[in-house]
Amino acid sequence: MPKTFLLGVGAHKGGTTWLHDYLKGRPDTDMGFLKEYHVFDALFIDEAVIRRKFLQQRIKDIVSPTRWPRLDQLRLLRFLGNPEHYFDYFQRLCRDPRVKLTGDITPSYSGLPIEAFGYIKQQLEQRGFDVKVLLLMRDPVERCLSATRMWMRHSRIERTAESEAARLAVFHQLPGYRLRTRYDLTIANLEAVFRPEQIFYGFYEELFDQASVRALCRFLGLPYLEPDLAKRVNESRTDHVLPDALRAEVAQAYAMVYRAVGERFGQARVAALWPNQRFVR
Amino acid sequence: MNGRSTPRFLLGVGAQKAGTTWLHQYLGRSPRVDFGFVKEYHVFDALFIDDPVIRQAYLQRRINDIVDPTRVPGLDQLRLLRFLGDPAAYFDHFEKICRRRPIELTGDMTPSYAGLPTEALRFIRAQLEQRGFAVRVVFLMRDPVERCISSVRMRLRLAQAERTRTEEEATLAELYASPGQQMRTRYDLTIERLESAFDASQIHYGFYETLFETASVRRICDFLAIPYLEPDFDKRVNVSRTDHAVSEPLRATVARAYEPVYRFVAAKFGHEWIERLWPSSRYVRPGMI
Repeated sequence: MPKTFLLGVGAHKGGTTWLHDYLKGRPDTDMGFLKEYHVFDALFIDEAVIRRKFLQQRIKDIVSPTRWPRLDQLRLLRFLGNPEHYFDYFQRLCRDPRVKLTGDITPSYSGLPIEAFGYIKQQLEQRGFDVKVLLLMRDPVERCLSATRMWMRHSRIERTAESEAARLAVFHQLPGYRLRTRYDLTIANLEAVFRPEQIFYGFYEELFDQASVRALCRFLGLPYLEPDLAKRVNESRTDHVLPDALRAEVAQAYAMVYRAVGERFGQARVAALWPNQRFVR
Repeated sequence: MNGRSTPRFLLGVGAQKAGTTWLHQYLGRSPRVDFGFVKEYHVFDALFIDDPVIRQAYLQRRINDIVDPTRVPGLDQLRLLRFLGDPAAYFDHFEKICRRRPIELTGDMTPSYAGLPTEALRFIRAQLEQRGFAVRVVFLMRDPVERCISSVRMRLRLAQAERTRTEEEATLAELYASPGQQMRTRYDLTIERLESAFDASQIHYGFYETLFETASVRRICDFLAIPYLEPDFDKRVNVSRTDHAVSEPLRATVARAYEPVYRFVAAKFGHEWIERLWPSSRYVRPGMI
């Protein structure tokens, strides 16, 4: 039986960490030493500023004059220096007969160009992997809001309704947000490379549900195991209410995403899942 | 900085196989010049070059110098990787060189910078000027056909491959139009980008074919505002010459692939001058350049 490699390509704040925890907790998987390996974003993303940020973070982890690098950071840099080491690493994980699935869930891979997906697919299939791609989508307005809240939480900035709204109004237009919210572009790039049966599109809004997890297990060729649906990770929720005017502004900036996803997965379904769609003119 | 004249930063942007190493060694002889621990720092190519294959090759060489489990990385290699992780450390390095001793000129001569996009050149300029450097760009050009031949010969020499005429011609035919050779040979594109990032007075164009002459070296010294020292014209470095003559048809093919370069350079620097300097320009639509 070929082993399965799960390439998770986001979306950022779309439930990927919850899913990774679920998979990692299973006896028939080995996801390795990390959830997000961040190899191909640092090498391939076209937007130079974003690519360099990922790359330079990796390098700084290693060459900081004040800290010794950790072994896992050295490994990641080694993967960047020669991605063959990355592919070999996952192949080694799968030598264990109990392991049916391994993978890398790096949300910023949503911004990878076609050539990067082609390269990853070719390298994995050359090593005998059955490659499966997963994209979890979330209402663009909610995704941007959640990303803003997480950033504020990590930066220890006081989170009031006003401070959240002020930042979201600016952040949602940044190239980094665009890269993580333009599901329409990610889908087009994925479908230029992978066969339809290799790709699973899910929605954050219905992820925490037995039926979705069942469907996902079937897609990954794994038996269904009961998930912990009450568990939440990386939660950045606050009670602050976002004004409708700002919701409308963000929704309008991603109107093409609402439209493309609606056309693709059904207008009624997307309208029900993504309430902010009502703001799209 | 040192309280005397503003230190100059020489940004050498190639071309590869056009005399940059000779020039680097010549300038480095002066007590007023200190280029630091390496000629080619290779920082911005690994970060900025648009072509992902070329960019990744530079980047991965730097990383692999460090993470090779069979060797202990050298201090210089660690420093170079640190510059990649944080270019501010690169600019600080040159600032420190100028603080250490009262020198007048430092710099980085990395020929692959010929392929840098305008945004990278603007970034370098802004960072250097912010640190009080007067930026001076030197771009040396060589007949495109001869440059490609020399580049291929160097490649074969470094790979310790057999260097027969057949091997040289086969490699040239395979590589002359590759993205890497194009990046290093499309002087027209390099010049356009340089001129949209720097003022005309900050750029010096030279030619390999006339580099080893007193007048050319004097001009470079004047441009860099350092005193002229008698050069050693007999010294050649990184020579990859062989006695094999590359066939006329192959030369013509390579020349035609770089027709825009011959045309652009002739229009900018003078048709007769380039026809005399670069004999392979005769393959480009006779009498038309």
